[in-house]
Amino acid sequence: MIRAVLCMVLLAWSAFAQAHKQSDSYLTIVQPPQGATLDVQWDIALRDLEHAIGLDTNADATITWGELKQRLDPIVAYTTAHLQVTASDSTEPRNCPLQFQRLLVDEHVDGRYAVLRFAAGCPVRAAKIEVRYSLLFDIDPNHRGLVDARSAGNSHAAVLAKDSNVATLDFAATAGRGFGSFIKEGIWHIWQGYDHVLFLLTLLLPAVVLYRDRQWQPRESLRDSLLDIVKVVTAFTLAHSLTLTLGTLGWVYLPTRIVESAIALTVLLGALNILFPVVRERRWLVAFCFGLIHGLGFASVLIDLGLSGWSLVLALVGFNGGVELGQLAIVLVMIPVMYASRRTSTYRRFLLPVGAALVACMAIFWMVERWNGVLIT
Amino acid sequence: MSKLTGRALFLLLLSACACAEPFIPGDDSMVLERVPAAQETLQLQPLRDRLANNPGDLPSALQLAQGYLRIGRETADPRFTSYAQATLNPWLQSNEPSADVLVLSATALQSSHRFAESLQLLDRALRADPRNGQAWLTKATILQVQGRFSEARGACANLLRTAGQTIAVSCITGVNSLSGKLEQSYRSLAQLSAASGSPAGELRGWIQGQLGEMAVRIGDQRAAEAHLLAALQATPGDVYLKAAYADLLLVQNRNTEAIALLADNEQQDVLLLRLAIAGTRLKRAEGRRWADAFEARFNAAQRSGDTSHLREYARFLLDVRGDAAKALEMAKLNWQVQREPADVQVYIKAARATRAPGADAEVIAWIRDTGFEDRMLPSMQTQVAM
Repeated sequence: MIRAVLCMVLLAWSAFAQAHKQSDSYLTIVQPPQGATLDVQWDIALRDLEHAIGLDTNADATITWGELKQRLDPIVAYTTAHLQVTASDSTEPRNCPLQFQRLLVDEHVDGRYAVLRFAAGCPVRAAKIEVRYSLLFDIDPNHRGLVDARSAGNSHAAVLAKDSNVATLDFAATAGRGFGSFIKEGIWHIWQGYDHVLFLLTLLLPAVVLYRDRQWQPRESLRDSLLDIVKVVTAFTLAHSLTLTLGTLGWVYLPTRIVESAIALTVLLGALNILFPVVRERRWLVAFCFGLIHGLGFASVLIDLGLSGWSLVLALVGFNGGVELGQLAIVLVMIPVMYASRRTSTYRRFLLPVGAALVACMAIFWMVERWNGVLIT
Repeated sequence: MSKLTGRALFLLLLSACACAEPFIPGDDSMVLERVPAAQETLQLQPLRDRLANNPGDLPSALQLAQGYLRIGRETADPRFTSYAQATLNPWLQSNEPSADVLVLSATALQSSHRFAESLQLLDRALRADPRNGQAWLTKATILQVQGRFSEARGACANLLRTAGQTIAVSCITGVNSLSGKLEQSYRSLAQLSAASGSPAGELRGWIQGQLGEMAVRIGDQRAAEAHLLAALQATPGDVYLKAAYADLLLVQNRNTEAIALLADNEQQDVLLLRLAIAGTRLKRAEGRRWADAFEARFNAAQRSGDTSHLREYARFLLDVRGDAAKALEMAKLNWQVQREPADVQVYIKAARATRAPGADAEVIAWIRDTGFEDRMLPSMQTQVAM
């Protein structure tokens, strides 16, 4: 009797040192903007798989990549038996069978994990999905499944446990908001990025005047002014949409430091062109060439979000649309003000040159700051 | 290369590490993971097989659960504690689980800091079998951790008739050492240890470990070191004892020795914390890595709703990050769960570091009520006298 208790002393004294991370798996479910198939990635600790189905086949206390690959079939069988994804599109829920695609490995804070990628082929595009999770619960009641479901740039998270192992994730509610949030992001980006606005202004301000006899003179017809504005804005839009797309998709890349400094340079050149007009009639061409650089600047916002696949395309369209809307709003406010004041000498003799000089100073400041800024921060 | 460029490059590298992508290893022989306690786990395999073939085999289940709990204690890995729970679950859910099932389940719950649930199971076990020594001992331990000293003494007293003198005295001196009789308890336990010759490995480790911790609080660092080394010799690799010994080294600013002691223990969060403290003090590059790794693990654990790391996190915030205010916040939360010397210490140190008057009032009042003694606490005497 006493002997038995002696053996167990250790158990009682046990483990107040046992502060250590529990077993978690990470399940990421992504719904692309189109199609019914969901992309599923499941990160499961190798130590958990070892205990559940055995990976260390040669019993040498290590798990190698070769051993992991060798056990792929039982891993897929075991995992797919413990995860059920069902989709519903306002009718009745239907199963989305998991089709295994790839095995990879990833490093997590508490060790290496097997990364299993599946395609979950839902019969209908899911407005809502239900995740029924039972991995490891039979052998590790404290295991947790951390689910992250994403659609159109928004995400839902859920923590699944033995006694609450079902999560319902509503994609429909987020889909619209996702697109809307990118439009909003685009509008804010152009309104808060004074460099883009100022660049546009350096090209727009001269649209209601003409440089003749070494000074700015008011244009006579509103039609000419409007035509000029439309040309400039259209050229700028086309150019930055082009590079925004190329940059976001990763087909064109320039370091942020160079892009941001170059944007400041375009503002400076735009302002100088008001003070010492070189390009007079074909400012739309300037708008196009320099717009290419601004587009790369917009792209950095989306690159930072780290989206991929269809959610990226959706974000791209939304964000670009937002930028155009924000730009249009500025133009619509500016046109009547500019047109009405074009005859005043304040506009031609003061606002144009002094404004341009101020903008030029600002641009020089930005250039210096941005060129050095990356080194400092 | 200028200092700034160097720093920019470093940050760039750091961000590259932070967003590591899943990869396909290039070589089949690449080692992806080490299996913890592989040897011990392998030894349990026959029991696991027997249970799988005959799910009603209670003796095998009890033996298997005990094996898992033992590995859990040695490795400080909660997975094994969970495996023990899973093994016992079918019987625990049944109508009348035996006292053994209840006690082992309670031990598992205690390991994951679920004290209230654990005490419930123990009381059920004691109703079924009032002479269950293991139940009394586990109950005493939990009550002691919660700072309920007089109740803990009552539980220890029951060990006299159920588990024998050695264990009962060890239990009582353990509680008394925390509630006003530190030096007297140390002497009694040392006498008992000498009188009982050299008991078997694990019991010896336990007693020497207790003596070591008492000596630390008495302020006799030389004696503490001797006891802790003896304990580690009896139960080598024990994470709890290693942490206690590392703390003794850290108190004496023997940071390099602490790092050498724990070199292979990055996997255990409690020991990783000590590495981070020592590495940060020495301003070593690894110090930063250890600190970041510890924080990342804490955050990951929190994400899944696990809050059993609060004691360690409070200490991390205080000793590594130097964020006294947040450390105090964590120490207060932790105080609601456990009240061991380490919990008292981190609470008081964090409170003093914030310099807010009365920040430690709660714990000072508790010390006054219980008679808790620890010479290592900052300017304890004056504070209590006030």
